[in-house]
Amino acid sequence: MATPALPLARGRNSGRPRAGMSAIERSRRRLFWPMLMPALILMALFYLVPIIYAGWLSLNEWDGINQMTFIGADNYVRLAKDPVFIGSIINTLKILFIVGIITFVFAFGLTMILRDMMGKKFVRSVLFFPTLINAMVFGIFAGFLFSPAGPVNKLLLLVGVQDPPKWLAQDNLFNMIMIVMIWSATGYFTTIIMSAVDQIPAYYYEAAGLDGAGPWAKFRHVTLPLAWDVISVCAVLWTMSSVKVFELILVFGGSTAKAPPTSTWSTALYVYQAAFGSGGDREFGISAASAIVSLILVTVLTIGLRRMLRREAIEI
Amino acid sequence: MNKVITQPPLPTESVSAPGPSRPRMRRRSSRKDRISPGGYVGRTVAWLLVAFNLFLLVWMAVTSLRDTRDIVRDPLGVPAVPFVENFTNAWNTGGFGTAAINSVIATLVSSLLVVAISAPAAYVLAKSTRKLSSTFTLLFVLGLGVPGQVLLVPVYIMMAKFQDISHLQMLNSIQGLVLVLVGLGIPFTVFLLAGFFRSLPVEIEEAAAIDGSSGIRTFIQIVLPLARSGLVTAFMLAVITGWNETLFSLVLLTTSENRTLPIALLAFLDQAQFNGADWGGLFAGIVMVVTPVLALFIWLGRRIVEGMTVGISK
Amino acid sequence: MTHIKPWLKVATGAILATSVAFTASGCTTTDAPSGGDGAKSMTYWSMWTETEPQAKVLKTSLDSFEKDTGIKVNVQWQGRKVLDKVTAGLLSGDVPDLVDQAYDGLGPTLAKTNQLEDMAPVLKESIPGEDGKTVGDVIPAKYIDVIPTYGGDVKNYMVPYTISNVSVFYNKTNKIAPEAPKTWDELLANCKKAVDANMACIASDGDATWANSYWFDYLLNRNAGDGSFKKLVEDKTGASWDDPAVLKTAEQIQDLIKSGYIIKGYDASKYPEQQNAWAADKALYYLMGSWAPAETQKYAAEGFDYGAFNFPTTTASSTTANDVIAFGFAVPKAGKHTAEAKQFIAYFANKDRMGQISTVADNLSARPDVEAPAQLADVATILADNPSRLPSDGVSGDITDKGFNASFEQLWLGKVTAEQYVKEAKTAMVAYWNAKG
Repeated sequence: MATPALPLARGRNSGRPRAGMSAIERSRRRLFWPMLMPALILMALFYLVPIIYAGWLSLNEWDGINQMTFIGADNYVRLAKDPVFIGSIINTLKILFIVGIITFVFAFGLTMILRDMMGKKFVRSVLFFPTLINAMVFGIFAGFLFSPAGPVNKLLLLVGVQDPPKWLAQDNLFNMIMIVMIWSATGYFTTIIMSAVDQIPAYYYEAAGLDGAGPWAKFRHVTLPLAWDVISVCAVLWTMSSVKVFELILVFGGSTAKAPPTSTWSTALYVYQAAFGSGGDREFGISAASAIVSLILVTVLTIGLRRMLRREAIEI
Repeated sequence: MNKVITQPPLPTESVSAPGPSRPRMRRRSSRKDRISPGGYVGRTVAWLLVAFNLFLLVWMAVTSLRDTRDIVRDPLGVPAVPFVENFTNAWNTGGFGTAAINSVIATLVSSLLVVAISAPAAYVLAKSTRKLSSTFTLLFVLGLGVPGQVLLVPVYIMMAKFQDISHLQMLNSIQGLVLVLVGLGIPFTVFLLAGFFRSLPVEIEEAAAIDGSSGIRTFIQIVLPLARSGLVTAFMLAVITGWNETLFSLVLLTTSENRTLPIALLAFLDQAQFNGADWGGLFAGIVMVVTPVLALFIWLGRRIVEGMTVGISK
Repeated sequence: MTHIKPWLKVATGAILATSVAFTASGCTTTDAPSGGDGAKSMTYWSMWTETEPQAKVLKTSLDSFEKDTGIKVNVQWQGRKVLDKVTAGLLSGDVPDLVDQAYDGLGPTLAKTNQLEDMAPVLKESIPGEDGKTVGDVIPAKYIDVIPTYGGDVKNYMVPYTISNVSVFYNKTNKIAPEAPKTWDELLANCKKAVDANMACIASDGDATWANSYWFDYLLNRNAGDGSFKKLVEDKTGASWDDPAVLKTAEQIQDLIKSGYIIKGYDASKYPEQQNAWAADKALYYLMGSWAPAETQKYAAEGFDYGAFNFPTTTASSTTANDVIAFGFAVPKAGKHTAEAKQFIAYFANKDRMGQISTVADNLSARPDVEAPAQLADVATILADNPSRLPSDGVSGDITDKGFNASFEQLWLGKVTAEQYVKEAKTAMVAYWNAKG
């Protein structure tokens, strides 16, 4: 995976170490291991070992109770044949690309709008807030607000809409989920992009203005290229978080104590359902295999996105 | 709830990372002159969005004070008399009381631990010139990108095995959840704090070293106080993550006395089968989930926003 | 690496400090409450939450059980997902002596892998306080015999204490069709009456496919006989889908939708939205488990009188089998006090104790000689008068969640015609079995 945003070994050049090693440097060296160790151990225990273990589990059939049997790549073959799993991958990609792109367009639009608006900090704070709330809450809200006799339809009726859209209809459900995601993610990315745009020196805009550039041209030729790095980092961030989406779908589509309809499953849901779903069958092997696939997915996508965005940055 | 309105501008002015600050150029000045027609449309949209978000908060608060029957009849109504029973019922019989206490304990303990463990690591990674340190930094960053579901089954099984060996209750226990929250929180906290430590001036430490103070003492007495704002931010973000954690809690915590708030909320939804949905109580539970985060945000909004966008806007 | 010692010291120190922090914060161990003081004890993990009426009933009996026998019961009110906890417990050796859930929970999670004790001896056990009557005497055999083994070796792995069924619920005080229909045609006629009177006929929540599929399941059962649903969805070749009875069933459902008999907005609602609408007299009929009255009484229209009738027959030769959903106790083999757990099962079967399921918790107890709560009087009659079957012939879990449901949704929501449905469902089920390997 790429290393976004982290200015590795920045500040001091690790190029030639020995030459002027000060006392402070030496004491730091001495402290290196003891200070790093606890975090490193936890990292190994909660990331490295589990990933390796997941890889091993994915080659086995196991219900958590009886003997584990090694079955090679069979789990992966089963996944490839399982329309529900393919659907969950497609849904995850939809979240990544459709929700991602719309969110970014909105975030940029809002950034432009908020640039010189009164009360922009307040607006930004209010829009940022949903990022901090457990998405489950929005799932419950949406079920309530958009129910056939619910507030949204009542409002629409006031405006004269007799036949409102079937918000929560089964084939609309995933679209609604995406809309809620766009709504809750826009504030976060607006904030990030705004802080980047805020650092673009004003004279660029002034110069562009003198050249007769309108708002769009300024956006296209000043804002976008100068904020490009941040955008590509945001894209990576979004990739990572889009693969994790879980709570919202669990509650959004789900009626009480039952699994949400398979048409709304994301990979995270699939992993959970295969291992811990209420159906009864515990398939740790299948679950681990699907988890590994989503890990590969996020890795490939992150690297791909980084490559793509880097190239485009040069083209501009 | 209205506090949002009366106490607004969370000064998120400079969301730039506290990195080595480059000369900041402001373009405050005279750009307020002309607003295009498109600008007006945009502003309206922005304010409508704001109004909608605030409406949700108010609606949530109001609905939590209404009788279930009323809510079903008219989801947008306002109670004549606040129906406080929702809260007392949810707290006492709905299991939200225990869950709230569990959530507070799990969140605070795990956040303290994760910061305590990450800070030293972040410090050496930020300041060390060893080649190894950039390898390790990369390792932590890679950890950031691992989706939780990849770790779910293995961590669950490992916890079960660990419980077997140690006889310490790991499944269905708050201490088990704390351990998981700490472990999972390490990469982000290290990443975040490394950024803060990197921005600290080297000179002070050097002065301390010349004074003959040892490395650990320098770290505890000089570096940590200097990085206090970073530590607080890291702590806040760990609190928010811990407070909202659902996937692992759902798998790990089972009995009602060990549930955290999100799981209590899910269990409350489950109960609707056989004994009917209690929307009033559900909304009371939602208020309990949302309010602490809202309070934190009103109080420390700037830090939270900075923390969540740090390192990105560079 | 000359300074290995100090770093090792500090690192172990840090880890020790963390674990001390853990222990200091009141570390719980797994071997805490097993009552090692010689007193007899057992643990019970319940499917109920502590505050639910069912839990209160059980608690009363658990207390008196302790008083009467000296056996202390450590009870954990786990809630509906209790079996997840049991399987987790199996993994770590922490298993209760007694659990309860529905047959379709206990079966696939525990009985299938032979984790449960045989209950046949318990059925022969005499009930304390009921001179000589055995558990098997008071709980009808048909409730127990219908429960599938899910491929496990033990036939009787559970002892039911409460029974639900699936039947059509309606408001007996309604003016449109106070008579309960016996045949499908009568039901359709009543539907027409309702629609003519500007009332919906059938309530349904579009997202509750598990409930909407009751219609398909019952209709197919009436059209093609017992076991036809199981045969249909478990047929790996898909050939069973070509049976004309399947198409007929799909057409009957299509007919309901096309005639506008299902409540408006059902295709865009989230359970229990339309269920509540039905209780508010917005629709005539509601096909649901017998928990429907308990779930809806808070929202019921004034004077709503809960009635129920068995699913209508479609032909003269139709079976009248009725869906039984048994909830009951089971004893995991890995428990340490299985004898005590079994003793409690027999103890609870006493009429006064199990009867409270009906008198206090408003559910139907597994003993027909206990008077049913008023809301479920009709349900009790239906159960007594008809042979028993299982919803979906006992098929549940992945086969329905991942296989059957998706295409059925399309049919129920009116997206596809009956012919298209049969074709698509056949493909989907073949694909499901294919993926299953």
